[in-house]
Amino acid sequence: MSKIEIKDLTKLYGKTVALESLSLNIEGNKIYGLLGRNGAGKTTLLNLITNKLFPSNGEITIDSETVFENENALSKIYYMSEFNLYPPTMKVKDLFKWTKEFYWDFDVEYASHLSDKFGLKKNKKFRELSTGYASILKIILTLSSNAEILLFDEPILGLDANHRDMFYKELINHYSGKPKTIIISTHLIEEVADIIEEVIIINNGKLMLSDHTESILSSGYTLSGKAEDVDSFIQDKRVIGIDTIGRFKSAYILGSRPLIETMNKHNLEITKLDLQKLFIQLTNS
Amino acid sequence: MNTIKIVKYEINEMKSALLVYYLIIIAIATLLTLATAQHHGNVSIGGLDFASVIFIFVSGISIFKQSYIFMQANNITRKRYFQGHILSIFPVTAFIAAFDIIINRVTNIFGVYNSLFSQIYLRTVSFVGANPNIMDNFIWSFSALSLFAIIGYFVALVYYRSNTLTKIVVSVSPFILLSVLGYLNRITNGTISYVITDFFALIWGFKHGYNPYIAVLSMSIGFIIFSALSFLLIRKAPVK
Repeated sequence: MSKIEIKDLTKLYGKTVALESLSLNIEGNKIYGLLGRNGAGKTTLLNLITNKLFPSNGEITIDSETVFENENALSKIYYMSEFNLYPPTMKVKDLFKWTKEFYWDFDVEYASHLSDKFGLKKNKKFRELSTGYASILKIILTLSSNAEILLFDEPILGLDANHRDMFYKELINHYSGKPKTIIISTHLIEEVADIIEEVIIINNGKLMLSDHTESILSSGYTLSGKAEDVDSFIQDKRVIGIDTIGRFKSAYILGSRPLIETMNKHNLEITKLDLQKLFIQLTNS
Repeated sequence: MNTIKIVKYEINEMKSALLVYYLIIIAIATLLTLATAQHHGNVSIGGLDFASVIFIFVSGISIFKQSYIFMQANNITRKRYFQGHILSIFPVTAFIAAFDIIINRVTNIFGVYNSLFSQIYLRTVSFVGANPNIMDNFIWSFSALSLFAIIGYFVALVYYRSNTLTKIVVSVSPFILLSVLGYLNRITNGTISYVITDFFALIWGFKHGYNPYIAVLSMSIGFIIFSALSFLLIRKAPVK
């Protein structure tokens, strides 16, 4: 059960601050969602955790060992980068073979099984794969690596709805069989909301929020009903978003939930807060 | 041990390029031997092993980025990757040096072939078509190929670490240096060219007679210097 500790991390690109004094503890055997707007610093953070970049200040440790040029710490991670880091002329089956050389626990059989399941041809060269299939290959390599920490940066880039659904199911299946620390960085918050146990939100290079998904979602509620009923109820509430469809309206509200009986009287329905709406509200500045 | 795996990977990456290269070289050597055979030893062939020096230099340049990025995909530390790369140079250059000598000897059976080594170091004996000592030739070629392999790798690293402006500066600096040296040579009545020629004669081992082992020593020192410079460039190289 590997955990990551990030202390006072800062990354500068010239005068641009990509990450600023970020401190974070990532506990073992949990699925984290790393959320943030474009350019918030998500990929920079993942690149720093995996020693692809070097921090301007601060420290990252895995099980109390620094990640800086540390073989032992780095061997515990497999990172699915959004960039293509594989030789363009290498065949899929050879990528499995060579990954097995560097990740001794890499499961070639499982990788082969996933390739068949996702329809990935093992004799194709990496450069011949479409964006979607390149993502599928990277997903397969990551899941099959059997590393203790799996990092996914935009894993569903180019994937169609069927493949996205297959990926989420496979991830849950994999995690249930062998619990590990998983971080998923994505923009499709609605799709991962039901998978992630912990939420990390980065905004403008700073840590904005790090908490359990459930406790974040319980910080508010969604109110639905006829537009006029919703409008009259939300007047004194902290509304973070509204969706209107015809005469019906849904309002996303921060604050403690009112009693269901009270709502029934007003013909209003209360459901869970929407993570994406909360994210937009928090980062919309 | 990851170092051995990296060596294995790097050699594997070189395999197909080496195969294509030697198919071309063997074809050229065969054609030239057939073409010169009718002249009964009056015409000699040479310079094919110089092509090997160019080949290993270009390979040094081209192999870097792809293998470095792939090693990063597998979370290999830069230090370990560098160790693996340096160690992978030697079996490849040893193979090329040996294979070039084989081509040299086989070609000499049917015609006259002068290797780079014999052209430089056998001037004092009846040099045309002479077979140099195999061990001398091998050690010298191995050292030269290893040096050019690391120079190619170093050049690739310099470009990889440079921004656009630095790349331009690095690209034009040899021409500027040559122009400056040419100018200094003119105003000093050839002193600069004399000093440079003298220096190269010294390090290549033909200032006082012809001694290839002085060149082997110089090239080994060169290899260590370029390896050290390459390590300084790679130890904090980001992935881009």
